[in-house]
Amino acid sequence: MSRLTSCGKGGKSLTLLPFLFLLTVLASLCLGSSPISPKELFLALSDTQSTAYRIFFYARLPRVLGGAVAGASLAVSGALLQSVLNNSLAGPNIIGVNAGAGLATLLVMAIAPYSVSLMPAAAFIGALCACLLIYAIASLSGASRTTIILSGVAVSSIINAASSSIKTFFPEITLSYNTFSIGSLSNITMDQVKWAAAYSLAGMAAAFLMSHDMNILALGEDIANSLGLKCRRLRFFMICSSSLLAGSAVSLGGLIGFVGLLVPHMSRMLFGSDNRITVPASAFLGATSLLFCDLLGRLLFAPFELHVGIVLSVIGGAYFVFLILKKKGGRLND
Amino acid sequence: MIEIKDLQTGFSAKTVSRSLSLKIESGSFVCLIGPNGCGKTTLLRTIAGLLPAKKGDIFINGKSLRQYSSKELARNIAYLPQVREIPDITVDTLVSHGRFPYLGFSRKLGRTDHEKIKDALELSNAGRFAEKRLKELSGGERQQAYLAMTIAQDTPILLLDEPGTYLDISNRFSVMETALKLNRKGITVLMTLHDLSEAMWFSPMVCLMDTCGSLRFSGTPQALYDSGLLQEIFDVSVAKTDFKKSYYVFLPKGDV
Repeated sequence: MSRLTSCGKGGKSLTLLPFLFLLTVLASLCLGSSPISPKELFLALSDTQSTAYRIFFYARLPRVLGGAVAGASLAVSGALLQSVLNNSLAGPNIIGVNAGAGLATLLVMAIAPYSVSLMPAAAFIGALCACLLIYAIASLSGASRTTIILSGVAVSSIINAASSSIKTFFPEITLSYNTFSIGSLSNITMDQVKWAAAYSLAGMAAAFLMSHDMNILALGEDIANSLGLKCRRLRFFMICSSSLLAGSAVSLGGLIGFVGLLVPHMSRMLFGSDNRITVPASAFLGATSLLFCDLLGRLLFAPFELHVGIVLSVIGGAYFVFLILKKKGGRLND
Repeated sequence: MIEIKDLQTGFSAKTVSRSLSLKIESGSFVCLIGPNGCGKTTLLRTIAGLLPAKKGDIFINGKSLRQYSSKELARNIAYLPQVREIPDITVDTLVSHGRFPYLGFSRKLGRTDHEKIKDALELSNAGRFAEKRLKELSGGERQQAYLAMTIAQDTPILLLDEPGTYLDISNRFSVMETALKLNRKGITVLMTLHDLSEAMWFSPMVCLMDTCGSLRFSGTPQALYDSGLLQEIFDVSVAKTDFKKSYYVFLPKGDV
């Protein structure tokens, strides 16, 4: 019975994740087209005129911090969405939440390109609108799990059409749009990180506070309601938090795919389906995997860089195929 | 006590039952029977507060259902639906969720919660597979696990929607025996059952609904048999035999 007060089977192994994350952070700070050894990194902190200092503070640090915030946010956003829609195929990039955030960010890029503080706010509103639209479709139609995904695809398609139209009317954002639509951590500034991190922290804190109630919601609406859980209110807060997180990630790295879909899966495979574990584990795994993929993109063809979105598409796609084959004969969206 | 007054049930624009009135004394054991689609589940869900009453009211211990907060209602009525999700969790975790209405902001289980969980596992006979995952269990074991969760909820009223569905006969009897055990502890049990023989065998009081969703009878199985309503509503022949106590057999009308 003591297992009930702890967090189940994942409690101990979860402590390994911060170490793995810190290791990836260190590697991301040191490695790249101009490698900096940990010793140089340490010395650079006291010499503000050195090249290593400038690389560290103006390129690597914002990129690593931004990547960690974006990865953790996308993964937790995905875990929340999968719980709200009771569908493990839901992810912010699959059901149109990222697309909604992307459209709003593009609008800001076109209308007020220097308003760094406005981007995460706009992305949050865009994500929230898309999320509420999908949820309304799901609630009104009593849609099956597959129908929710299909309606997400339909909503994404409409939003993407709007994004493409903005690109047509504002050709000066074409270059940024291309990078934005692939998903990239290059060119992140500390200012952007500060603003986005505030949104992410709020979303993460809310997700963690709701994680036990998410376990009750997983029992189905009738049982959850009869246990005294206010399901509608919880779902609304989950959608808002998920949108905060997706908005923050999109404002930093653009339309990064797969993290929100696959990381919560990975977390459940490794640590079980207790959301009190899934939420923090997804945050660490999301940050670690996004930074790792970004590092790969920087190292594979150095000095050229592959955007993290490209690396993620290859690795995420392969992992998705693995999941499908593993579930052969069963249902992926159990 | 559950008191239903001039109740109209339904969902969305659809009305399922009209003018339902019924009084169930505290500590009763009642089976709700009726043809498919007559509104038994809708009535049970309305009593559980999961569907709003379209008209009329339900009183639990003299207080209108509308005046209960969600947590307060969950401490008074436990409801086990017929169709459920099967989350990937262990049985003891599932049973611990039955304590949700009593948890504070930290959602931590206290000593009383652990005691109630232990008692629920014992009473439902689910303790022997408490550490197994729900997905590994048979249908009967899973039903016992869910029953344990509702027992852990520790409510004076228990609503069960077709608790024997998809179960073999021994598992069905085992579920009914657990329900009777709870009733002997003073818990009011109201359940829907589609097996008429079992309903009339186990339950000292039966309520019969017809295809229009009206409540046509409420009383003992013997009085229901005598009323002739079973033949009329279900269009079957009914025979009474004696085996320990009166047992009712249902057969098709005419030659087979």
